Amino acid sequence: MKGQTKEMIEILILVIGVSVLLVISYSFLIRMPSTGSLLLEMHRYDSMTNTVKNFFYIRIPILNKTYAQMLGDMVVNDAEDLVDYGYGNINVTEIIYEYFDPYYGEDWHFRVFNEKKYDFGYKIPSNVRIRTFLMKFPLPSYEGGVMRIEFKNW
Amino acid sequence: MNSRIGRKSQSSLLILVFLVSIFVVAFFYFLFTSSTLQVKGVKGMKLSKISNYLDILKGYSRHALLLSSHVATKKVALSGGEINEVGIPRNWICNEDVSPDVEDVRFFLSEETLKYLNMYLEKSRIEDLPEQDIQNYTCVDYDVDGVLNGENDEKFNVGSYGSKIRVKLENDIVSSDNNVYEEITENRFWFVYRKFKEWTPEGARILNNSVTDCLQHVCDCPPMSPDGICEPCENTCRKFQNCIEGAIENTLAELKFDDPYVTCDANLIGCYYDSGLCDECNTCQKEEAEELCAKELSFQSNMNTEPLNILYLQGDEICGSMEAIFTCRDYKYLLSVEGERNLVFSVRATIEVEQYTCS
Repeated sequence: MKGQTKEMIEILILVIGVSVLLVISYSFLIRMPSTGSLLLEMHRYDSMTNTVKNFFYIRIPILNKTYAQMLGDMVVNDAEDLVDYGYGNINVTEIIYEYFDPYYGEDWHFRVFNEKKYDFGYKIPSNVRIRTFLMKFPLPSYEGGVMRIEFKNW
Repeated sequence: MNSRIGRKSQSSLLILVFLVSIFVVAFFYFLFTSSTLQVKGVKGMKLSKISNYLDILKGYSRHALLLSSHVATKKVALSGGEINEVGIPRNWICNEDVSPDVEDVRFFLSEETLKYLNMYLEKSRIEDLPEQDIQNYTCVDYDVDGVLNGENDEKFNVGSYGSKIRVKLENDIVSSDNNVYEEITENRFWFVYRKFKEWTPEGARILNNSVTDCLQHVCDCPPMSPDGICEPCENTCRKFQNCIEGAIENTLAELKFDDPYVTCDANLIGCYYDSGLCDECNTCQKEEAEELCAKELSFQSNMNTEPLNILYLQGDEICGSMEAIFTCRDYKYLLSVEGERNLVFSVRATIEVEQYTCS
Protein backbone atom coordinates (compact mmCIF):
# COMPACT_ATOMS: atom_id res chain seq x y z
CA MET A 1 0.00 0.00 0.00
CA LYS A 2 2.86 2.28 0.92
CA GLY A 3 4.63 1.45 -2.37
CA GLN A 4 1.50 2.10 -4.41
CA THR A 5 1.02 5.54 -2.80
CA LYS A 6 4.64 6.40 -3.51
CA GLU A 7 4.25 5.34 -7.12
CA MET A 8 1.05 7.37 -7.44
CA ILE A 9 2.83 10.47 -6.09
CA GLU A 10 5.73 9.97 -8.50
CA ILE A 11 3.36 9.56 -11.45
CA LEU A 12 1.48 12.67 -10.28
CA ILE A 13 4.72 14.66 -10.19
CA LEU A 14 5.58 13.46 -13.67
CA VAL A 15 2.13 14.33 -15.00
CA ILE A 16 2.37 17.80 -13.45
CA GLY A 17 5.87 18.22 -14.91
CA VAL A 18 4.74 17.17 -18.37
CA SER A 19 1.70 19.43 -18.12
CA VAL A 20 3.90 22.40 -17.22
CA LEU A 21 6.10 21.63 -20.23
CA LEU A 22 3.03 21.38 -22.44
CA VAL A 23 1.75 24.73 -21.18
CA ILE A 24 5.16 26.31 -21.89
CA SER A 25 5.23 24.74 -25.35
CA TYR A 26 1.75 25.95 -26.03
CA SER A 27 2.53 29.50 -25.00
CA PHE A 28 5.69 29.36 -27.11
CA LEU A 29 3.73 28.12 -30.08
CA ILE A 30 1.22 30.89 -29.53
CA ARG A 31 4.05 33.41 -29.68
CA MET A 32 5.52 31.93 -32.86
CA PRO A 33 2.94 33.33 -35.29
CA SER A 34 3.42 36.86 -33.90
CA THR A 35 7.15 36.65 -34.64
CA GLY A 36 6.28 35.31 -38.07
CA SER A 37 3.91 38.15 -38.73
CA LEU A 38 6.55 40.60 -37.55
CA LEU A 39 8.96 39.20 -40.11
CA LEU A 40 6.24 39.38 -42.73
CA GLU A 41 5.59 42.97 -41.76
CA MET A 42 9.28 43.79 -42.09
CA HIS A 43 9.30 42.13 -45.47
CA ARG A 44 6.33 44.17 -46.63
CA TYR A 45 7.95 47.36 -45.40
CA ASP A 46 11.15 46.46 -47.25
CA SER A 47 9.20 45.88 -50.41
CA MET A 48 7.68 49.37 -49.98
CA THR A 49 11.10 50.98 -49.65
CA ASN A 50 12.20 49.03 -52.71
CA THR A 51 9.27 50.33 -54.72
CA VAL A 52 10.02 53.92 -53.77
CA LYS A 53 13.75 53.40 -54.30
CA ASN A 54 13.13 52.31 -57.88
CA PHE A 55 11.71 55.76 -58.58
CA PHE A 56 15.34 56.83 -58.83
CA TYR A 57 16.59 53.89 -60.84
CA ILE A 58 14.01 52.77 -63.39
CA ARG A 59 13.96 54.73 -66.61
CA ILE A 60 10.73 54.68 -68.57
CA PRO A 61 11.39 53.19 -72.00
CA ILE A 62 11.39 55.58 -74.96
CA LEU A 63 11.09 58.64 -72.69
CA ASN A 64 14.36 57.59 -71.02
CA LYS A 65 13.49 59.44 -67.83
CA THR A 66 13.17 58.24 -64.26
CA TYR A 67 9.91 58.46 -62.34
CA ALA A 68 11.56 60.83 -59.87
CA GLN A 69 12.64 63.15 -62.68
CA MET A 70 9.17 63.31 -64.22
CA LEU A 71 7.50 63.80 -60.87
CA GLY A 72 9.95 66.60 -60.00
CA ASP A 73 9.32 68.31 -63.35
CA MET A 74 5.59 68.13 -62.76
CA VAL A 75 5.83 69.61 -59.27
CA VAL A 76 8.29 72.38 -60.11
CA ASN A 77 6.22 73.46 -63.10
CA ASP A 78 3.10 73.49 -60.97
CA ALA A 79 1.45 71.22 -63.53
CA GLU A 80 -1.62 69.16 -62.74
CA ASP A 81 -0.89 66.04 -64.76
CA LEU A 82 1.00 66.90 -67.93
CA VAL A 83 4.65 67.79 -68.37
CA ASP A 84 6.09 69.10 -71.62
CA TYR A 85 9.45 67.75 -72.76
CA GLY A 86 9.64 69.62 -76.06
CA TYR A 87 8.24 66.76 -78.11
CA GLY A 88 4.81 66.62 -76.51
CA ASN A 89 3.06 66.41 -73.17
CA ILE A 90 3.57 63.41 -70.92
CA ASN A 91 0.86 62.46 -68.44
CA VAL A 92 2.86 61.92 -65.26
CA THR A 93 -0.16 61.08 -63.09
CA GLU A 94 -1.05 58.21 -65.42
CA ILE A 95 2.53 56.96 -65.35
CA ILE A 96 2.56 56.93 -61.53
CA TYR A 97 -0.64 54.88 -61.39
CA GLU A 98 0.76 52.48 -63.97
CA TYR A 99 3.81 52.05 -61.78
CA PHE A 100 2.13 51.36 -58.42
CA ASP A 101 -1.01 49.50 -59.48
CA PRO A 102 0.69 46.23 -60.48
CA TYR A 103 2.46 46.06 -57.10
CA TYR A 104 -0.32 47.12 -54.76
CA GLY A 105 -3.61 47.07 -56.64
CA GLU A 106 -5.80 49.67 -55.00
CA ASP A 107 -4.03 49.47 -51.66
CA TRP A 108 -1.70 52.45 -51.94
CA HIS A 109 -1.54 56.19 -51.59
CA PHE A 110 1.31 58.46 -52.64
CA ARG A 111 1.50 62.07 -51.54
CA VAL A 112 3.96 64.80 -52.49
CA PHE A 113 4.42 67.81 -50.24
CA ASN A 114 5.78 70.95 -51.79
CA GLU A 115 4.18 74.38 -51.93
CA LYS A 116 1.02 72.47 -52.64
CA LYS A 117 0.09 68.82 -52.08
CA TYR A 118 -0.20 66.27 -54.82
CA ASP A 119 -2.20 63.11 -54.12
CA PHE A 120 -2.05 59.90 -56.10
CA GLY A 121 -3.57 56.50 -55.41
CA TYR A 122 -6.67 55.39 -53.55
CA LYS A 123 -8.69 56.31 -50.47
CA ILE A 124 -6.91 55.37 -47.25
CA PRO A 125 -9.13 53.01 -45.21
CA SER A 126 -9.54 53.67 -41.52
CA ASN A 127 -9.87 50.16 -40.12
CA VAL A 128 -6.72 48.42 -41.36
CA ARG A 129 -3.05 48.47 -40.53
CA ILE A 130 -1.30 51.10 -42.68
CA ARG A 131 2.41 51.11 -43.43
CA THR A 132 3.97 54.50 -44.16
CA PHE A 133 7.31 55.37 -45.73
CA LEU A 134 8.57 58.96 -45.69
CA MET A 135 11.31 60.27 -47.95
CA LYS A 136 12.73 63.26 -49.73
CA PHE A 137 13.23 63.64 -53.47
CA PRO A 138 15.54 66.21 -55.06
CA LEU A 139 13.54 68.79 -56.97
CA PRO A 140 14.73 70.77 -60.02
CA SER A 141 16.07 73.86 -58.31
CA TYR A 142 18.91 76.37 -58.19
CA GLU A 143 19.14 76.00 -54.41
CA GLY A 144 19.21 72.23 -54.08
CA GLY A 145 15.51 72.09 -53.22
CA VAL A 146 13.77 68.90 -52.16
CA MET A 147 10.17 67.74 -51.94
CA ARG A 148 8.83 65.42 -49.24
CA ILE A 149 6.96 62.31 -50.21
CA GLU A 150 4.79 59.94 -48.20
CA PHE A 151 3.93 56.49 -49.44
CA LYS A 152 1.22 54.43 -47.72
CA ASN A 153 0.27 50.81 -48.25
CA TRP A 154 -2.27 48.66 -46.48
CA MET B 1 5.04 -10.39 -3.20
CA ASN B 2 5.70 -6.76 -2.06
CA SER B 3 9.19 -6.74 -3.60
CA ARG B 4 7.71 -7.93 -6.95
CA ILE B 5 5.20 -5.07 -6.90
CA GLY B 6 8.03 -2.64 -6.00
CA ARG B 7 10.18 -3.83 -8.97
CA LYS B 8 7.17 -3.54 -11.32
CA SER B 9 6.43 0.04 -10.21
CA GLN B 10 10.12 0.95 -10.50
CA SER B 11 10.32 -0.31 -14.10
CA SER B 12 7.15 1.52 -15.15
CA LEU B 13 8.53 4.65 -13.53
CA LEU B 14 11.76 4.26 -15.44
CA ILE B 15 9.86 3.95 -18.74
CA LEU B 16 7.89 7.04 -17.83
CA VAL B 17 11.07 8.96 -16.93
CA PHE B 18 12.62 7.82 -20.19
CA LEU B 19 9.64 9.04 -22.23
CA VAL B 20 9.56 12.34 -20.38
CA SER B 21 13.31 12.78 -20.96
CA ILE B 22 12.86 12.25 -24.70
CA PHE B 23 10.02 14.75 -24.69
CA VAL B 24 12.08 17.32 -22.78
CA VAL B 25 15.09 16.88 -25.09
CA ALA B 26 12.88 17.16 -28.16
CA PHE B 27 11.20 20.23 -26.71
CA PHE B 28 14.46 22.04 -25.97
CA TYR B 29 15.83 21.07 -29.38
CA PHE B 30 12.77 22.55 -31.04
CA LEU B 31 13.01 25.64 -28.86
CA PHE B 32 16.69 26.14 -29.73
CA THR B 33 16.35 25.61 -33.48
CA SER B 34 13.32 27.81 -33.82
CA SER B 35 14.92 30.63 -31.87
CA THR B 36 18.08 30.30 -33.99
CA LEU B 37 15.96 30.49 -37.13
CA GLN B 38 14.25 33.58 -35.78
CA VAL B 39 17.55 35.24 -34.97
CA LYS B 40 18.81 34.39 -38.44
CA GLY B 41 15.60 35.70 -40.00
CA VAL B 42 15.73 38.97 -38.08
CA LYS B 43 19.43 39.40 -38.87
CA GLY B 44 18.75 38.77 -42.55
CA MET B 45 15.94 41.29 -42.53
CA LYS B 46 18.18 43.86 -40.86
CA LEU B 47 20.89 43.37 -43.45
CA SER B 48 18.40 43.66 -46.26
CA LYS B 49 17.03 46.81 -44.63
CA ILE B 50 20.46 48.43 -44.36
CA SER B 51 21.28 47.45 -47.92
CA ASN B 52 17.98 49.01 -49.02
CA TYR B 53 18.84 52.21 -47.17
CA LEU B 54 22.21 52.40 -48.89
CA ASP B 55 20.52 51.92 -52.25
CA ILE B 56 18.00 54.64 -51.44
CA LEU B 57 20.73 57.11 -50.53
CA LYS B 58 22.69 56.20 -53.66
CA GLY B 59 19.52 56.61 -55.72
CA TYR B 60 18.99 60.02 -54.12
CA SER B 61 22.58 60.99 -55.00
CA ARG B 62 22.15 59.73 -58.54
CA HIS B 63 18.99 61.70 -59.07
CA ALA B 64 20.63 64.76 -57.50
CA LEU B 65 23.53 64.37 -59.96
CA LEU B 66 21.12 64.27 -62.89
CA LEU B 67 19.31 67.43 -61.77
CA SER B 68 22.59 69.19 -60.91
CA SER B 69 23.88 68.43 -64.37
CA HIS B 70 20.76 69.91 -65.97
CA VAL B 71 21.03 73.08 -63.86
CA ALA B 72 24.78 73.37 -64.50
CA THR B 73 24.45 73.00 -68.28
CA LYS B 74 21.74 75.65 -68.25
CA LYS B 75 23.89 78.10 -66.25
CA VAL B 76 27.17 77.43 -68.04
CA ALA B 77 25.51 77.71 -71.47
CA LEU B 78 24.03 81.08 -70.51
CA SER B 79 27.50 82.29 -69.53
CA GLY B 80 29.15 81.10 -72.72
CA GLY B 81 30.87 78.02 -71.35
CA GLU B 82 32.09 79.35 -68.03
CA ILE B 83 30.83 80.67 -64.73
CA ASN B 84 31.65 84.26 -63.88
CA GLU B 85 30.51 86.84 -61.39
CA VAL B 86 30.00 89.54 -64.01
CA GLY B 87 26.79 87.98 -65.27
CA ILE B 88 27.51 88.44 -68.97
CA PRO B 89 28.64 85.72 -71.35
CA ARG B 90 32.26 84.87 -71.90
CA ASN B 91 34.11 86.35 -74.86
CA TRP B 92 34.55 83.92 -77.74
CA ILE B 93 35.75 86.63 -80.10
CA CYS B 94 38.19 89.33 -79.04
CA ASN B 95 39.21 90.58 -82.48
CA GLU B 96 40.27 86.97 -82.94
CA ASP B 97 38.99 83.54 -81.93
CA VAL B 98 39.40 83.10 -78.15
CA SER B 99 36.75 80.42 -77.75
CA PRO B 100 37.12 77.99 -74.82
CA ASP B 101 38.42 74.50 -75.42
CA VAL B 102 36.41 71.44 -74.44
CA GLU B 103 38.64 71.02 -71.39
CA ASP B 104 37.94 74.59 -70.23
CA VAL B 105 34.19 74.10 -70.50
CA ARG B 106 34.47 70.68 -68.86
CA PHE B 107 36.14 72.32 -65.85
CA PHE B 108 33.45 74.96 -65.33
CA LEU B 109 30.63 72.54 -65.98
CA SER B 110 32.07 70.07 -63.47
CA GLU B 111 32.54 72.72 -60.78
CA GLU B 112 29.05 74.08 -61.24
CA THR B 113 27.54 70.60 -61.13
CA LEU B 114 29.47 69.83 -57.96
CA LYS B 115 28.14 72.98 -56.31
CA TYR B 116 24.51 72.01 -56.90
CA LEU B 117 25.08 68.35 -56.12
CA ASN B 118 26.45 69.12 -52.66
CA MET B 119 23.51 71.46 -52.01
CA TYR B 120 21.19 68.50 -52.59
CA LEU B 121 23.27 66.22 -50.34
CA GLU B 122 23.04 68.68 -47.49
CA LYS B 123 19.26 68.27 -47.58
CA SER B 124 19.29 64.52 -47.94
CA ARG B 125 18.29 63.59 -44.38
CA ILE B 126 15.55 60.99 -44.82
CA GLU B 127 13.15 60.70 -41.89
CA ASP B 128 12.41 57.02 -42.16
CA LEU B 129 16.02 55.96 -42.30
CA PRO B 130 18.05 55.27 -39.17
CA GLU B 131 21.19 57.22 -38.34
CA GLN B 132 22.80 58.24 -41.62
CA ASP B 133 25.74 60.30 -42.75
CA ILE B 134 26.59 61.35 -46.31
CA GLN B 135 29.84 63.15 -46.98
CA ASN B 136 29.97 65.81 -49.67
CA TYR B 137 31.40 64.98 -53.08
CA THR B 138 34.83 66.34 -53.92
CA CYS B 139 34.80 65.88 -57.66
CA VAL B 140 32.45 65.76 -60.64
CA ASP B 141 33.73 64.85 -64.05
CA TYR B 142 32.20 64.77 -67.53
CA ASP B 143 33.14 62.30 -70.19
CA VAL B 144 33.97 64.57 -73.13
CA ASP B 145 35.65 62.16 -75.55
CA GLY B 146 32.81 62.43 -78.04
CA VAL B 147 32.17 66.17 -77.93
CA LEU B 148 33.98 67.31 -81.06
CA ASN B 149 32.93 64.37 -83.21
CA GLY B 150 29.26 64.78 -82.31
CA GLU B 151 28.84 61.63 -80.19
CA ASN B 152 27.86 63.74 -77.19
CA ASP B 153 25.43 65.92 -79.12
CA GLU B 154 22.34 64.49 -77.40
CA LYS B 155 23.69 62.49 -74.47
CA PHE B 156 26.75 62.40 -72.30
CA ASN B 157 28.00 60.77 -69.13
CA VAL B 158 28.84 62.36 -65.83
CA GLY B 159 30.33 60.86 -62.68
CA SER B 160 30.68 62.15 -59.13
CA TYR B 161 33.30 60.98 -56.68
CA GLY B 162 34.66 61.39 -53.18
CA SER B 163 31.50 60.90 -51.12
CA LYS B 164 30.91 58.17 -48.56
CA ILE B 165 27.68 56.96 -46.99
CA ARG B 166 27.37 55.50 -43.50
CA VAL B 167 24.15 53.97 -42.20
CA LYS B 168 23.70 52.80 -38.62
CA LEU B 169 20.89 50.47 -37.59
CA GLU B 170 20.97 49.55 -33.88
CA ASN B 171 24.51 48.23 -33.43
CA ASP B 172 25.21 47.51 -37.08
CA ILE B 173 27.06 50.10 -39.14
CA VAL B 174 27.51 49.85 -42.88
CA SER B 175 29.71 52.20 -44.89
CA SER B 176 29.98 52.46 -48.62
CA ASP B 177 31.42 54.65 -51.34
CA ASN B 178 28.82 56.91 -52.87
CA ASN B 179 30.38 57.26 -56.31
CA VAL B 180 27.64 57.57 -58.88
CA TYR B 181 27.65 57.65 -62.66
CA GLU B 182 24.76 58.85 -64.73
CA GLU B 183 23.89 59.19 -68.37
CA ILE B 184 22.35 62.56 -69.17
CA THR B 185 20.01 62.34 -72.13
CA GLU B 186 17.95 64.85 -74.07
CA ASN B 187 20.35 67.66 -73.29
CA ARG B 188 22.09 69.26 -76.27
CA PHE B 189 24.63 71.37 -74.40
CA TRP B 190 27.63 69.89 -76.22
CA PHE B 191 25.87 70.08 -79.57
CA VAL B 192 25.35 73.83 -79.28
CA TYR B 193 28.89 74.25 -77.93
CA ARG B 194 30.33 72.32 -80.90
CA LYS B 195 28.42 74.42 -83.43
CA PHE B 196 29.55 77.68 -81.82
CA LYS B 197 33.11 76.35 -81.70
CA GLU B 198 33.04 75.55 -85.42
CA TRP B 199 31.63 78.98 -86.23
CA THR B 200 34.00 81.13 -84.15
CA PRO B 201 37.11 81.34 -86.44
CA GLU B 202 35.05 82.38 -89.46
CA GLY B 203 32.74 84.52 -87.31
CA ALA B 204 35.72 86.43 -85.92
CA ARG B 205 37.13 87.02 -89.39
CA ILE B 206 33.83 88.31 -90.84
CA LEU B 207 33.10 90.52 -87.86
CA ASN B 208 36.59 91.98 -87.83
CA ASN B 209 36.60 92.83 -91.52
CA SER B 210 33.09 94.24 -91.40
CA VAL B 211 33.74 96.50 -88.41
CA THR B 212 36.96 97.74 -90.05
CA ASP B 213 34.94 98.64 -93.13
CA CYS B 214 32.38 100.42 -90.96
CA LEU B 215 35.02 102.66 -89.38
CA GLN B 216 34.88 105.06 -92.35
CA HIS B 217 31.42 106.17 -91.16
CA VAL B 218 32.95 107.62 -88.00
CA CYS B 219 34.48 110.35 -90.22
CA ASP B 220 30.97 111.64 -90.97
CA CYS B 221 29.99 111.79 -87.33
CA PRO B 222 30.14 114.94 -85.21
CA PRO B 223 33.21 115.38 -83.04
CA MET B 224 32.94 114.09 -79.54
CA SER B 225 32.46 116.30 -76.52
CA PRO B 226 35.79 117.47 -75.02
CA ASP B 227 35.72 114.96 -72.24
CA GLY B 228 34.03 112.31 -74.29
CA ILE B 229 35.84 109.03 -74.09
CA CYS B 230 34.32 106.03 -75.76
CA GLU B 231 31.37 107.97 -77.07
CA PRO B 232 28.37 105.66 -77.56
CA CYS B 233 27.30 105.77 -81.16
CA GLU B 234 23.60 105.25 -80.71
CA ASN B 235 22.76 108.95 -80.74
CA THR B 236 25.82 110.60 -82.22
CA CYS B 237 26.97 108.23 -84.94
CA ARG B 238 23.95 106.37 -86.20
CA LYS B 239 25.58 105.52 -89.53
CA PHE B 240 28.41 103.71 -87.78
CA GLN B 241 25.95 101.83 -85.60
CA ASN B 242 23.79 100.82 -88.56
CA CYS B 243 26.85 99.54 -90.35
CA ILE B 244 27.90 97.51 -87.30
CA GLU B 245 24.42 96.06 -86.98
CA GLY B 246 24.74 94.93 -90.59
CA ALA B 247 28.12 93.37 -89.77
CA ILE B 248 26.56 91.45 -86.89
CA GLU B 249 23.79 90.18 -89.19
CA ASN B 250 26.43 88.94 -91.65
CA THR B 251 28.31 87.18 -88.89
CA LEU B 252 25.14 85.64 -87.51
CA ALA B 253 24.26 84.31 -90.96
CA GLU B 254 27.44 82.28 -90.81
CA LEU B 255 26.26 80.56 -87.60
CA LYS B 256 24.61 77.52 -89.14
CA PHE B 257 23.14 74.71 -87.08
CA ASP B 258 21.29 72.90 -89.87
CA ASP B 259 18.77 71.98 -87.22
CA PRO B 260 15.10 73.00 -87.21
CA TYR B 261 14.97 73.17 -83.40
CA VAL B 262 17.65 75.83 -82.95
CA THR B 263 17.12 79.53 -83.45
CA CYS B 264 19.80 82.18 -83.05
CA ASP B 265 19.87 85.93 -82.68
CA ALA B 266 22.44 88.59 -81.99
CA ASN B 267 22.26 91.82 -80.05
CA LEU B 268 24.57 94.78 -80.18
CA ILE B 269 25.29 95.71 -76.57
CA GLY B 270 28.04 98.29 -77.10
CA CYS B 271 29.09 100.59 -79.90
CA TYR B 272 31.72 103.27 -79.32
CA TYR B 273 34.02 105.55 -81.22
CA ASP B 274 36.86 107.76 -80.23
CA SER B 275 39.39 110.04 -81.77
CA GLY B 276 42.94 109.06 -81.17
CA LEU B 277 43.95 105.79 -79.65
CA CYS B 278 41.35 103.33 -78.50
CA ASP B 279 40.75 103.82 -74.82
CA GLU B 280 39.79 100.30 -73.86
CA CYS B 281 36.11 101.04 -74.23
CA ASN B 282 35.57 97.32 -74.41
CA THR B 283 37.51 94.64 -72.67
CA CYS B 284 37.90 91.02 -73.28
CA GLN B 285 36.54 88.90 -70.46
CA LYS B 286 37.06 85.25 -69.78
CA GLU B 287 37.67 83.04 -66.76
CA GLU B 288 40.71 80.83 -66.66
CA ALA B 289 39.99 77.16 -66.15
CA GLU B 290 42.04 75.24 -63.64
CA GLU B 291 42.96 71.62 -63.29
CA LEU B 292 39.88 69.49 -62.80
CA CYS B 293 39.47 67.84 -59.38
CA ALA B 294 42.95 68.98 -58.35
CA LYS B 295 41.82 70.66 -55.17
CA GLU B 296 38.97 70.85 -52.75
CA LEU B 297 36.49 72.13 -55.25
CA SER B 298 35.17 75.41 -54.05
CA PHE B 299 34.74 77.92 -56.80
CA GLN B 300 37.14 80.82 -56.73
CA SER B 301 36.93 83.48 -59.36
CA ASN B 302 40.00 83.78 -61.51
CA MET B 303 38.71 86.30 -63.98
CA ASN B 304 40.94 87.44 -66.74
CA THR B 305 39.99 90.88 -67.97
CA GLU B 306 42.43 92.14 -70.51
CA PRO B 307 42.56 94.81 -73.19
CA LEU B 308 41.97 93.58 -76.67
CA ASN B 309 44.72 92.73 -79.01
CA ILE B 310 43.92 95.80 -81.11
CA LEU B 311 44.04 95.52 -84.82
CA TYR B 312 46.26 98.39 -85.97
CA LEU B 313 45.76 99.64 -89.46
CA GLN B 314 47.57 102.48 -91.21
CA GLY B 315 47.30 105.06 -88.47
CA ASP B 316 46.01 105.54 -84.98
CA GLU B 317 43.66 108.47 -85.24
CA ILE B 318 40.17 106.95 -85.10
CA CYS B 319 38.94 104.18 -82.92
CA GLY B 320 35.78 102.15 -83.37
CA SER B 321 34.61 99.49 -81.06
CA MET B 322 31.63 97.20 -80.63
CA GLU B 323 30.44 94.27 -78.61
CA ALA B 324 27.60 91.90 -79.31
CA ILE B 325 26.03 88.82 -77.80
CA PHE B 326 25.14 85.89 -80.02
CA THR B 327 22.46 83.67 -78.50
CA CYS B 328 21.09 80.32 -79.66
CA ARG B 329 18.07 78.54 -78.18
CA ASP B 330 17.45 74.83 -78.49
CA TYR B 331 13.75 73.94 -78.63
CA LYS B 332 14.16 70.24 -79.23
CA TYR B 333 14.18 69.24 -75.57
CA LEU B 334 13.21 70.86 -72.31
CA LEU B 335 15.57 70.54 -69.37
CA SER B 336 14.67 69.45 -65.85
CA VAL B 337 15.22 72.90 -64.34
CA GLU B 338 13.25 75.58 -62.61
CA GLY B 339 11.90 78.45 -64.74
CA GLU B 340 12.67 78.60 -68.45
CA ARG B 341 13.55 75.06 -69.54
CA ASN B 342 15.07 75.59 -72.99
CA LEU B 343 18.83 75.44 -73.31
CA VAL B 344 20.09 78.93 -74.12
CA PHE B 345 23.71 79.33 -75.12
CA SER B 346 25.21 82.83 -75.35
CA VAL B 347 28.64 84.01 -76.40
CA ARG B 348 30.13 87.49 -76.56
CA ALA B 349 32.10 89.06 -79.37
CA THR B 350 34.16 92.21 -79.03
CA ILE B 351 35.90 94.05 -81.85
CA GLU B 352 38.04 97.15 -81.54
CA VAL B 353 39.82 98.65 -84.52
CA GLU B 354 41.84 101.82 -85.24
CA GLN B 355 42.26 103.61 -88.50
CA TYR B 356 44.10 106.55 -89.99
CA THR B 357 42.74 110.09 -89.89
CA CYS B 358 39.72 110.93 -91.98
CA SER B 359 40.55 112.76 -95.19
